Amino acid sequence: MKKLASLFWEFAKIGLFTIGGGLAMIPLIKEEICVKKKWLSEEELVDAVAVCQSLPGVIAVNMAGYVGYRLKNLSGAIFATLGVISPSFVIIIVLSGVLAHVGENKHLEFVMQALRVASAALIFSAAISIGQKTVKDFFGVMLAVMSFVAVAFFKLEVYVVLLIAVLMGVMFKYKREE
Amino acid sequence: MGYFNLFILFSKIGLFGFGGGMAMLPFIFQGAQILTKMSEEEFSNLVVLSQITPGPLAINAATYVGFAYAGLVGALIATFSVSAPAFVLVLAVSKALDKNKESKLKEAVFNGIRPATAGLVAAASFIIAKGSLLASTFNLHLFSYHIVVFLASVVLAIRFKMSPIKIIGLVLLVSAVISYFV
Repeated sequence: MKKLASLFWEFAKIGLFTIGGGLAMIPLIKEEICVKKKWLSEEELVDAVAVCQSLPGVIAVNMAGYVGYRLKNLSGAIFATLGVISPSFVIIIVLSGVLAHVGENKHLEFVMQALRVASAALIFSAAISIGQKTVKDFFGVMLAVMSFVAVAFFKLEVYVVLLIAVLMGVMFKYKREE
Repeated sequence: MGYFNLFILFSKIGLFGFGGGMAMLPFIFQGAQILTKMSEEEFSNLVVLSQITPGPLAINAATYVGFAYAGLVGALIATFSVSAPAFVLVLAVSKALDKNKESKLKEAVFNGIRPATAGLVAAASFIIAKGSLLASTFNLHLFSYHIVVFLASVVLAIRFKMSPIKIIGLVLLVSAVISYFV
């Protein structure tokens, strides 16, 4: 019960600082769940990101559900997901009631723009540390660079890229073992 | 139109939304128009609100539309339904992965996915940064400030291993102060 409560709390913190999309959770999960709590290894986090990106649906819910399940099965998944959703839910209810035109506040806009840039920087740092763990040979470098270019510049859908990566991974593995 | 329609609509959005919140927005707009006759102006207000508040974008937008449609209960139903498909899917996949822990095929599949993930996460960072940097291209001071924020955050995270929450907090404080001088 104590672990479930603290799963909820950790993921509520993570939800509150998730700025700019579900993948902004990666650096937060790494710090709070892997480094501080030691509930998950960083390799397991990389697998979580890989799986969650290939699934449809809200990435934040995928991530919380996956990590929660790893730690404490169904109840863990439920508490982690409720945790990650709660802050946005409360904030939106409060703001849409109080301030219909909160978007026109210049100070808030300036601050949130800067926070999105910082969040992008943190995601970039996470990409570097994922790369250090997963890219081990020329094949890996090629896959990482191709995936980046395909999505960032050619706007290819993420699941298409992952499908290609799976095919190449399987082919390469079996070819090497022949 | 009742709670049930709200549930069906947002489960569909949650189920077919590949690629995260941004990709779901057009579907959420269609839904909002059907349910609440929400105008485009009100919707763009929703998008701004969803973006300038923390939390996953899709959850923010669903909560907003549900609340506009049917108050607190509507917000609860919309948020629940948009999350439910992702939740069920990830549980199913986790269970399947647990069953095949030592499978050779699984290792081969992850063999390709792992390095691709590094590239995909970098691409996500690129897309988010591009959105903010493009918005400030015509304002040299703002643009330089964003570059400084980006580089400083990367250095603090990688070189000094500062926690992400502290970095976000620091950028929040500094930007709040600076916002009164620009």
